[in-house]
Amino acid sequence: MADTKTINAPWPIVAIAGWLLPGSGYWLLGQRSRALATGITVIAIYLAGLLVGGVRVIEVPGYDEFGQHVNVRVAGGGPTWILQVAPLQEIKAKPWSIAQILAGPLGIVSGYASVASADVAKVSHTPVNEAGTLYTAVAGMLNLLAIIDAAHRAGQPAPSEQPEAA
Amino acid sequence: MILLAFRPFLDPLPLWNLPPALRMPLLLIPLTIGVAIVYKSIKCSSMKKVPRESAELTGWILLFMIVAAVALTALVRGLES
Repeated sequence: MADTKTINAPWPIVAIAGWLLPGSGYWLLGQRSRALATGITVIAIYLAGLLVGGVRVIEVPGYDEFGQHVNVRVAGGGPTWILQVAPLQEIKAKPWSIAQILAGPLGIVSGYASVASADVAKVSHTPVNEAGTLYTAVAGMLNLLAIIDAAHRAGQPAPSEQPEAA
Repeated sequence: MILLAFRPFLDPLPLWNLPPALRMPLLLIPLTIGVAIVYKSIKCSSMKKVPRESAELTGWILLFMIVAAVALTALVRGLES
């Protein structure tokens, strides 16, 4: 297995690639078996979360359970979309969305699908909803670990130049 | 009949046929396996070690979750009695 071979690549490129497609940061470094193991597992966990809870487990900040903009009334004006007025407050109300977006474009696409299918897809309830949210958020957090590790490896000398790890 | 109406990814998985006490434990097993595989893929110097070490880690996580569940159940029942 080519998991110890390291090809030099700039760490920001490795980090961005790891976010765009889970595991691809390792692929750029030539560690293909590591890339496949992490990438396939992260994507499988994320998709399993969507399968368990349905796509509506992705709660997109700025949108309510009906897929409509969450509007707030500001002083001296009409209803304004909450993301234009208090984006951090809205994101803090749905903290799992931060972890879900770390799974990469998969998180963005499923967020779009969640809002777009609000009128046809069913919202799950506890504990199925909790499990779906947990799966998708854990997938994102595991991808963050993989991104950090791949970016760290990108900044290191090749394994042949390092002392043997214990 | 429920399965015929099930639309993958649009509807939640029809798990309500399972006993309530089994739902979360069954859902946690695949997640534990996934966490162990990714963690050990990151941690191990050689990918050849990953299958065995991730299987061991999965076992340890599940064992400690069972121990924690038993201990917390005993604590709650002790406080309630």
